[in-house]
Amino acid sequence: MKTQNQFVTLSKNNKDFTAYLTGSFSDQKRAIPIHSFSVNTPVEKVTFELKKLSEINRPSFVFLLLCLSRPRYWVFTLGPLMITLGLNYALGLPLNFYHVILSFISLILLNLSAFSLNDYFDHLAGVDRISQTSGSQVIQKAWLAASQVKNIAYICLFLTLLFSLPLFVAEPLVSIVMALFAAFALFAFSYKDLGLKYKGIGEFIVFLALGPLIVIGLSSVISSEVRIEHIGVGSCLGWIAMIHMQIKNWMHIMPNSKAGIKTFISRLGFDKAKLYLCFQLIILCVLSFGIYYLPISIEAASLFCGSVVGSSLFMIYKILKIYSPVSSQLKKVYKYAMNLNWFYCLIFAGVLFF
Amino acid sequence: MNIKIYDAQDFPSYLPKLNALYDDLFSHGKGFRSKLIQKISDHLKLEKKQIHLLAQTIEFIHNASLLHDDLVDRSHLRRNKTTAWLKYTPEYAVLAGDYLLARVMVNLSRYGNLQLLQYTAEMISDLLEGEWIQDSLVKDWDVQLKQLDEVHKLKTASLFKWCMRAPFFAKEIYSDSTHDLLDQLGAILGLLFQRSDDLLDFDIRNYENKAVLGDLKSGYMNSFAVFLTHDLDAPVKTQFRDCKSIEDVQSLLGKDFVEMRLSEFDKENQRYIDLYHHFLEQLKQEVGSEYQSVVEPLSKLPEPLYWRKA
Repeated sequence: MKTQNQFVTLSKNNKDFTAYLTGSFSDQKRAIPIHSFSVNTPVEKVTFELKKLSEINRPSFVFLLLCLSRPRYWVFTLGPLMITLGLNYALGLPLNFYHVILSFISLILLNLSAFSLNDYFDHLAGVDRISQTSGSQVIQKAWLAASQVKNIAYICLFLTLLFSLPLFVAEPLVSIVMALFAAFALFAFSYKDLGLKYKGIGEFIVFLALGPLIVIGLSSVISSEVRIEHIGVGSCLGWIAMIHMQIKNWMHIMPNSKAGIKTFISRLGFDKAKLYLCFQLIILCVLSFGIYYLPISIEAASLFCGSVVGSSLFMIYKILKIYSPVSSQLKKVYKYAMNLNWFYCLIFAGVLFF
Repeated sequence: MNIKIYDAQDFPSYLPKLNALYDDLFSHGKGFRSKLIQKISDHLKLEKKQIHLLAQTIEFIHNASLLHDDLVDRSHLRRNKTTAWLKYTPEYAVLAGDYLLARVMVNLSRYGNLQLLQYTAEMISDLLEGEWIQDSLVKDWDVQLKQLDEVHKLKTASLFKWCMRAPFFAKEIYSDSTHDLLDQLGAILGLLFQRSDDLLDFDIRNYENKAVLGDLKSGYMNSFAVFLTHDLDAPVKTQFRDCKSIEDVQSLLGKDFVEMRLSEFDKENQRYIDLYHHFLEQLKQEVGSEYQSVVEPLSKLPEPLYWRKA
């Protein structure tokens, strides 16, 4: 029977399988894996949809790089940079702007490299066939072949090391500790057999890596000094990152449970997770009052606390109004959480600077 | 083979109104699912008793879900007749549905194929999960197509998957790769069936002259409603919700816009039809020469199912 759309099913043992998966099988076409049979078995087969490159509306290369770097997650790296800069300024610490610029560039490149690698390995492992909206979607939409994404990842990793080399030289001990922890965190998340991501330790790693550790590391390279305030502020940032991760797990509670993936949130269940998230947001409000201990005016501190409390209460209200694991409001709450992260970072940095 | 799904002798006569309720329920159904079972079972050379059991099982499960669905939705009509919960009582409608499911379990456990029994129990579980989640989507006007597909996978598609797989279980063909393929084929048929049903609600290819906009009036955005309005501005979406007739919809959105969206929707579903045929080719290689004849009737299913004509 002649069909308008083209499909091909290949066994993993087929000699052409890897070429189809990585996109190197043809210059004219892209093969998008859409379904796996007998996943993770020796007889696994994958069905690919073939699309002509000429029929794909590919955006510009810059836009592709932007998608790969997942700018919505920049708040977890550039946010701490902004806040550390503001905090060190408020504390009267010396600021090395050359190191600030290098840190900024390194973080952007690290985002690009880490997420591109994540997309590439998820694609090889078939994660994007189970959850077809995961990742940056650059491979799923056939904008780039998997092999091209891999090349971008390694080039950016090399550039990250190049730009961060002066920072390593300036603060070798701190930089090495941070790099080792970052590598461990990446490994723990990416190596699925370990499953640390799914044992509740994931939240703790996120709290540390995107909280106190990143602030301490950045302060070391920007000002060569770390104080107790960095640990306090870092803890707040880590708490926000952890809440974000948990909201994301709550959003995916149904597909995760069906796939047998046990996160802390899926173990709690939909209803209890709702209450848990609200409790986390209340803790965030309490933590935000720590800003009164920083050397800034009471008005500025009150502005920040008022913003945190107000927006957190609004978010609690939104969460409590969700009654279905497939509700359209789940995605809105997640987007709201993302915007809130940026909001907190900008307000916090603003009150510190001004 | 003409299968009589329901026989009054299968149910106790001392339960008041039960048989009257079932008489109403089974008298006007098209029996599409049991016919699908028959098509596949004939080519697998199943015995008449086996075919009857499978056909009865799927119709019992399907009609049990209709009894419950109508009560949950507070629908007044089913197959142009007063719904069971309204004609009798809501309590009787619930219990009658439960009794059909219990009957399925009794019949299958007597038959003795444990794999089939286990799979049927899992399917009923999926069906109920789908019903539960679908109910939580009423008045969710921003629901996305992806989320609806998740619900339909559990509800509509699980019955079609069962129709594809159960005859193979009955024939004691348990190969994982065969059942994987049958699962995907059933999933696509279920999706196409649901989407074409959703089009009927907008009077598109409504050759049976079913009542229109029933879903929208009940506060439920079906797949075509979502596809039609997914990128429209909030004020237009609000007005869309209040439409009471197809003329209202066309006057709000424009006839050309609706036609354009319908064409895109059909193109997306044609992709699923093409994928179905691809999977069917894989099944042909999988089942071997003994049962290859099962592929031919299956190949004739998706187009009439979606386009609603032979």
